[in-house]
Amino acid sequence: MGTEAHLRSILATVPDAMIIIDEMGSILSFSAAAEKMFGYAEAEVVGENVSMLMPSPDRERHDGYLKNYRDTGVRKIIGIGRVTTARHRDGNTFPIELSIGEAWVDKKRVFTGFIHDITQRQQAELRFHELQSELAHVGRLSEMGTLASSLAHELNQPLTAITSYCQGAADLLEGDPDKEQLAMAREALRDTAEQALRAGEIVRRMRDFLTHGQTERRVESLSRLITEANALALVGTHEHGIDVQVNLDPADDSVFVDRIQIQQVLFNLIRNAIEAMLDSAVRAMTISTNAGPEDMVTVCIQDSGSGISETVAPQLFQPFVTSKSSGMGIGLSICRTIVEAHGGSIWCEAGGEGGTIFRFTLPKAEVEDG
Amino acid sequence: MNWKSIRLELASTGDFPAGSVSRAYLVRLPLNDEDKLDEAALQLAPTKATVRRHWSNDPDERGFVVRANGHWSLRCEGKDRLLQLDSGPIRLGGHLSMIEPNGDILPFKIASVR
Repeated sequence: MGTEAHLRSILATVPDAMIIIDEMGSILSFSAAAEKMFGYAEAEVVGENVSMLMPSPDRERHDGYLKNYRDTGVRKIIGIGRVTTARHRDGNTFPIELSIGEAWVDKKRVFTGFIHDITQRQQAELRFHELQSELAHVGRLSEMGTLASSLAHELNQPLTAITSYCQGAADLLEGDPDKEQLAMAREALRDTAEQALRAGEIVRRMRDFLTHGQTERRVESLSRLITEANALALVGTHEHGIDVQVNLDPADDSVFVDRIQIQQVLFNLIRNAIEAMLDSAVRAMTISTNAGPEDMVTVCIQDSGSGISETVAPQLFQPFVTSKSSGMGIGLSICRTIVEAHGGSIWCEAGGEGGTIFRFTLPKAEVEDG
Repeated sequence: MNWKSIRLELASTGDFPAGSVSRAYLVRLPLNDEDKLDEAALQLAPTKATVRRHWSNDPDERGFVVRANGHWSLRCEGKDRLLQLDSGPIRLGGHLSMIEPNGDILPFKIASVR
């Protein structure tokens, strides 16, 4: 069997989609699995720019990614792989795991993309992930409840002591106290001060517990966090025909955050947006970022759903408040805890043409020039 | 009322003799029993008539089908592209013409009606 025939037989049977492009991004080969995955025949797409298989913003940026690699040789995805989003011919997007290899054929550079549709796998993991988050948060709330009881108990002791020392001192100073009574009153006041310091220490320990969780903050690319979280959140929504638009500000892409936690916030907000639109005629979601206020970046997730009821809105970020028939109502409470622990804030407002806009801020990372 | 998702792909032009599947519009429209535009249904729910433009490596655009100056227009990001929607049935394999904001007339093939 000749090399080309051999390659063709592999292309026809390999379960993952395989797409070969030249170094300018033009499609050279499109496997049978790719035809099935994307809804195009190979003959239709050969010669087209591979960016046609991506939603914005990757679609318009992909030529730049290739140029950057040709110019610098710095690998951002080749040999690394990542979870991202692809678009079917019918306009719907779906999550994929993309791995890219590089080769030279007849002195020409080609890139081979192996694409695995992770919709099915993610659907199973999705529920597990949700349950895990809920349990973790409930666990933390329960821990906080335990801590609050313990705090009340611990604080009660110095407060009781302070009360008796103050009463004792007041009794000793009544009338015309002698030298010994004055000395005892001084001692009682010193003990009062000590107990007040002890109470302060207990409060400080509590604050440390609440504010310094076990987080790992690093400089992260906000666009990458959003792309990955969006890909995961869109799992299983194919049939709903959600139109997702992503407008990210490339100038303020670096944030100083715990990647997992912020992806959890994004994931929760995107899933909420999708669920809010299921009964709507127009199902359009926009995810955008922009600089400010001050040293923060604002992330905005807007849906075209029916909006949030006035009764639920004021307590939206409180735990166990929900307008959904299922779920525990702690998703937004988790979001607020995480965002505020990062020094940001989260809020929601009514969208211009119905629907809801959730916004939250994250600290910009200081990136050194050069 | 029968709302359909219609994919229009660029048909043969001077620049693209074989057409181009990467230059497409996804339009949501109500069709009647004869597969023609159901104007009454569209007037009842104009925000359901959405448009998405996926054009090579341009950023995605979206908007609505609107009636402007006696013509049907795909209005995306403030730009109007006139589309001959009232000329006949909208069926798989059929063709429609579109007038771009610069006056160019582009042919489109109806690639799917779902």
